[in-house]
Amino acid sequence: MSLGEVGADIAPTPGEHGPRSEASAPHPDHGQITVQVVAPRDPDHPRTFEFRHNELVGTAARVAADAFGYTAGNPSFANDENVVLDRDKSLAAEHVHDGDTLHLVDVGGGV
Amino acid sequence: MGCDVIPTVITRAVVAEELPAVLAWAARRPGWTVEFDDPALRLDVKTNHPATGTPLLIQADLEGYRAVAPGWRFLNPGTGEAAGAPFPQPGFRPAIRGSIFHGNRVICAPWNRLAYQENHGPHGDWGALTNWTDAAAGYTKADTLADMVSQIDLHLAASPGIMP
Repeated sequence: MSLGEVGADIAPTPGEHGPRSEASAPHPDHGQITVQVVAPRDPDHPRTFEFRHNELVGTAARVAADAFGYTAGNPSFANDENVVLDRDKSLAAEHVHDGDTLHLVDVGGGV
Repeated sequence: MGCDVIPTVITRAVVAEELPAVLAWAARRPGWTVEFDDPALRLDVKTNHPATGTPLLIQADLEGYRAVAPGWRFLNPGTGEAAGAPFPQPGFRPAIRGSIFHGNRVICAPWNRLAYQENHGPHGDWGALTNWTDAAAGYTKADTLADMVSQIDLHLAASPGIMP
């Protein structure tokens, strides 16, 4: 994906703090937000993603999960307060803001 | 120690690859510690129940991993034995469909081999133990040790207390 595309991972190298991510914040487009995503399997290397603010949590989480190498499952995000976001709501509705850090979680329930 | 599924040298290599992520994950969470017992091939995860503060010891038997899932169970943190181990009550969050903590005191997840009928668990519907990464599609999914600990954390956060 190219820079600015919805769901783009703008940190192609884990941990990189290159000009591409710096150039995107603050972002001029209020419909887009940039978030850091931390995945359990690689917590020392959060990655930066750019999403539409009205993107569904589930769709955005799938993009992030794919980038971290997760297959299948039911990915979602938890915020820094450990509140799990509803996959069926938008990032905006779940009060995700530009610059937030989100934690990738799987919300498939117990059996 | 041997295993009829996979040589221990392979398991050790896999664990060596995954362990840094588990340790890094725990380091970011106050109150969580993870220790790997290399000779025994066991992972000891310690934390406190978020609602009651009860000390918890969750142990993963890694023999055969990743050919088969780890065997996750709660142990008595005072003795290291199964007897008297505190087990979380199932709890629910709106965004999560069901708890991995069952009334039979088993972590009921496809990534826990103790949940399979072959190991006296409740699930005879998940196929062979070696199918663990594909079993129970749509339910809890965790393919690495760090993902598993994250899942335990997620469900613990929803647990209202300890089972009587």
